[in-house]
Amino acid sequence: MLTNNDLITVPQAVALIIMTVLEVGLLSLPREVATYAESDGWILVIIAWLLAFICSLVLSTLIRRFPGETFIEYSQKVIGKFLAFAIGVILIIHFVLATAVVIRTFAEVTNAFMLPNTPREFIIIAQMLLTIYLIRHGIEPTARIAEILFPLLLVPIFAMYMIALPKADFTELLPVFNTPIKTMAVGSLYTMLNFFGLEILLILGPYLKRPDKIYWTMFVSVGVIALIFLFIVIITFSVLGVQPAKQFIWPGMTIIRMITAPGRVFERLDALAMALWTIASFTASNSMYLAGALTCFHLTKAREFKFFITILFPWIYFLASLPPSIIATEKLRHIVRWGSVSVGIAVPVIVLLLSIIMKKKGETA
Amino acid sequence: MKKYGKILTILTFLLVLVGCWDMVEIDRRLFVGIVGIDVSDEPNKYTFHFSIPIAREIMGGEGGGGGGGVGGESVSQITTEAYSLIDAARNLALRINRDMYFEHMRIVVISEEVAKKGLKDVLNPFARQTEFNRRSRIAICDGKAEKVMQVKPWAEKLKAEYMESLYASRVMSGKFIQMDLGDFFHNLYTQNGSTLVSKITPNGTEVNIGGAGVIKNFKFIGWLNEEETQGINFFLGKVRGGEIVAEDIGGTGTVTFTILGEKAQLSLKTAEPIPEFDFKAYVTGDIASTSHAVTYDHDKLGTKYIEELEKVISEEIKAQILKGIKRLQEDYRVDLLKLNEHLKKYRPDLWKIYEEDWEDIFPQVSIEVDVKTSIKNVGILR
Repeated sequence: MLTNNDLITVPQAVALIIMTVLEVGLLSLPREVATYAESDGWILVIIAWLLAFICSLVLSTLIRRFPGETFIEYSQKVIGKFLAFAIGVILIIHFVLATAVVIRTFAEVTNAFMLPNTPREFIIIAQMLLTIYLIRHGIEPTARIAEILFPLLLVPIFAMYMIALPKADFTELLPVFNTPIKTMAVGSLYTMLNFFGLEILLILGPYLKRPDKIYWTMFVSVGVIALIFLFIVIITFSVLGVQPAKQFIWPGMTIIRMITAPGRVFERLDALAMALWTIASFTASNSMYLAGALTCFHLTKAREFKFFITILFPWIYFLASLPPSIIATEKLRHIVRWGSVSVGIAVPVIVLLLSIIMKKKGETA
Repeated sequence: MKKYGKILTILTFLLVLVGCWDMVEIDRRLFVGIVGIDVSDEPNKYTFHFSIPIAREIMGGEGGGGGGGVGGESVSQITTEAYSLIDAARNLALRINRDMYFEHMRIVVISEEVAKKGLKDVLNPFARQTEFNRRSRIAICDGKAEKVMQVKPWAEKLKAEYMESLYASRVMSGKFIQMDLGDFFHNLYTQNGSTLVSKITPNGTEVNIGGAGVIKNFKFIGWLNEEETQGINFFLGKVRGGEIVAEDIGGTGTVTFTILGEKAQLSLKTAEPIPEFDFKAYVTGDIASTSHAVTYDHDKLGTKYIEELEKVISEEIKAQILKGIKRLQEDYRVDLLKLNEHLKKYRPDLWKIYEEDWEDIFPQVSIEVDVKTSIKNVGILR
């Protein structure tokens, strides 16, 4: 175990960030952008991309400014011990909620498309046990798994949606720029919420092997995520149509049920799609869960972080089974996304500004 | 001791994590091939018919004589009265011991009567539930859906397969509507509940899928005949095959033209006060038969006759298109030509003005139809 010093390389960081942001929420993205801006939905994705990029710049600057320090440590320096503690607690709550929502959404999709009779609790627990087994080994194996699963997820996703191309009618993307600026602005803000997961960067900071390359890392990961979003939105709009995209809860999944692999080699691609979304939600819940446990660890300055995983387990399970219906899940999801914006953008911006004003810096920067 | 602990853990995992909660053995399922919906005598109720192939009868061997079991029917039919499709499937749980399985459903047949009452509630489960095959076909039948279910095709053993493969023959004819459930819902949602839908006419041992049903605001309002359907298909650029028969030059007989492909182009000519459209269709195809022995001059390689034929065929196609347009504009007053979509996509500013009373504007819209035919092949006779 000499190689495992719990530092992650640049490709691993890229994979980890991308896999955290890509989760089952991707399936509902076309519906959301269609509701906000009809056929201009894909433009929202591009604007949201820019917004997310700015957000990631803030996060990266913080990491550059305080290399090797945890968020809790440097926020203590900047905003004082008490506030930093409060923010730490909020972060933990956010990550726990986020894990719960990711796992719950996955269970919902599985129940709807694959295993209608399997109890939801069972899917949730099975998924959580796997996650716990992995993240107990620390951040490096988690990132390594993300790196390994990354091509396994992306290549089939692209291939699968490519099959739908013969059915595509690209005039569905017309008219362009027909949405009022105001709706557009609100819509792109909401679309940006789909980038939730970027805030794990707050926790990731001290574990980066090359914090000097953080800008590049963020540029690539946010870019790749946005391209995948764009691809899925355009394919969904052109194959399913903008109006139907509004009607379905998971338009991204509905398309899969409409297509047949060429030559009828496989009539249904549902099973493949479900496998892919299992991977996506698994990696996303991994990093959220791990981030939650690590925040506890940083906050308490304990010797080991492993037992925090056990402490968080019942809470995540409880929150994941809390929403009584799918509508409640969607509401909870919405809350988590707003939480992600506040802890992922607002807090870092304040900390960064204060640190610039107070001229506080990390030791080696 | 530690070793036993490990083995025990693994065994626990095997016990807890292996297996499939939703497992249903394949012989416990009934694969529904056709779903038929008729009106019932009771208010708000429908009569649902399910056609289910019986695996052991199909396995009985082709033409093996009377080797089959009781009756030897390869497809059986179950009928029940219920408020909705799901209700019907649950009703049947009281009568049959197997699970109804709709993932391999091939066609949904809705009777004219049901469609006239409105399709909204009948069709909702097909879109809402994931257990229904979205690649299944949908058709409205002339008369009772039960008649379609009772058809005994002479060429095929399974009705569902027979009907489904009929709808796959787009390269053979342009006189029917080719769509599956997914397309159908797509049209309904984008067109505010109006769409063309396949028609199916039962006839003893076979069905006829020519023609189309017109649905306006989720309600069936009438039929289009085969020619009109082909005209609309031409207008929408969907024709991929079929034939055009026109009177030959000089009135010596008929000429048969087989269609290879089509490209359609729609553009807005004038916007105010009532929009006018320009429609151009480019059709390619072969001459399959003509009453003349030769179609071109050997010595001069003159193509005069071919050009004249092209003109004749263009006129015939144009006439069909106009018939279809006229029917929709005058009789049904419903925009299934996707003119509204064209306006919405390319001239959103205009669409905002017209959207409110498009139903009244549409019948007055004038469309200039121009068809260009090019003959690619004349066969192996000169």
